[in-house]
Amino acid sequence: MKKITLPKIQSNIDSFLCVTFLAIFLTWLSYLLQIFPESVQLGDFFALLLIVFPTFGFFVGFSRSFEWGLFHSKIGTSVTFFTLSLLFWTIGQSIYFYSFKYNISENFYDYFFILMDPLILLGLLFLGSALGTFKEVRKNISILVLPVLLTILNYIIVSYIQNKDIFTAFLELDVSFIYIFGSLVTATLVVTLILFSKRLGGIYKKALQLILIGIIFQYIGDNIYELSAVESNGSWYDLFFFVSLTFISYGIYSLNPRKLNEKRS
Amino acid sequence: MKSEVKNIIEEIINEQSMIVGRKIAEERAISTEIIKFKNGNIELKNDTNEAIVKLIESFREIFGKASEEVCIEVLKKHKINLSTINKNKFKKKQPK
Repeated sequence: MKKITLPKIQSNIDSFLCVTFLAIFLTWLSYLLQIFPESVQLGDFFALLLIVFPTFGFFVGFSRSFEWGLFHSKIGTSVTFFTLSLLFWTIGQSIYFYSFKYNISENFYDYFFILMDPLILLGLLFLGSALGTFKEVRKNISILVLPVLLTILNYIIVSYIQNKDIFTAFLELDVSFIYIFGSLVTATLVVTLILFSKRLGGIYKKALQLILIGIIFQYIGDNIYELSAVESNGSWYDLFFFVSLTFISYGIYSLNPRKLNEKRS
Repeated sequence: MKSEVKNIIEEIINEQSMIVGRKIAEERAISTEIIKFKNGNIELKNDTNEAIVKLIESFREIFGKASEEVCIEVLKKHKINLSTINKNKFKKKQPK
């Protein structure tokens, strides 16, 4: 009699993390679309996830930084800066969560959130340098048009949503301009890296692409946060931040040097 | 006296170390099964262009063409073309 063998279901940590992410994402989306009745507890739970996921990313990233030679290599330096940005997010979000829950008006969290941008920027600069992106940029000076275009696009969106002309929107964005300006610079770098990453390949291609997409989500989240009048836990901008931080954390996690040896064996 | 192949390999490993770190660069070199490290010095099983090609292939596994181009820059410094190595010099000897 012929034996029928069923294919084994491969359950590894990667698929577990992907399923967890998808389940949370869909629940969150249902909550925001009010399929679930609005509940403060659920909003708080989502806000807590914004502490849990980047904390995982920070611990894994810390170990990855050492594996890639820390500040002795460009990838190591880049991973270290991305990891530090996750740490700053975790601290900022923890303070934000506490302040929001207990109605504390002082917004110390802003310092941590604002400092995230230069850290991501440094991470991107070292990543671009490691991948030889800037050599390509030197040959294509036209890329400098990109920040100008992104700035104009940003202000068109701001003025459209706030029903103001573009100049009034510019003048009224005082402190929040730091957020948008910071995100603009990082977004420009991300787009530059994506445009010139045609040569990017190898086993870490997906990991690096995840980090870059994550930073774009951070940029979108920053903009929605600046434009939304209401602050609440688990809102639309928080969902974008969740996607962003998960992608960055998972991207860093996937930059596992052991993969190289596994591939060889 | 160091051979040119050894010089090139050393330079490629140094360049890649700046990108991925010394440990990973050395591991990649060892994975070619042609390059060994003894007291920090490089030892070659086979002092031919095969070692260079295998080393480049090994680094290409990390970031693809982006990694390969770093190696090509080193070859350019030595006025060597990768395609020339592949086509003419890295040929398996046919048994007589």
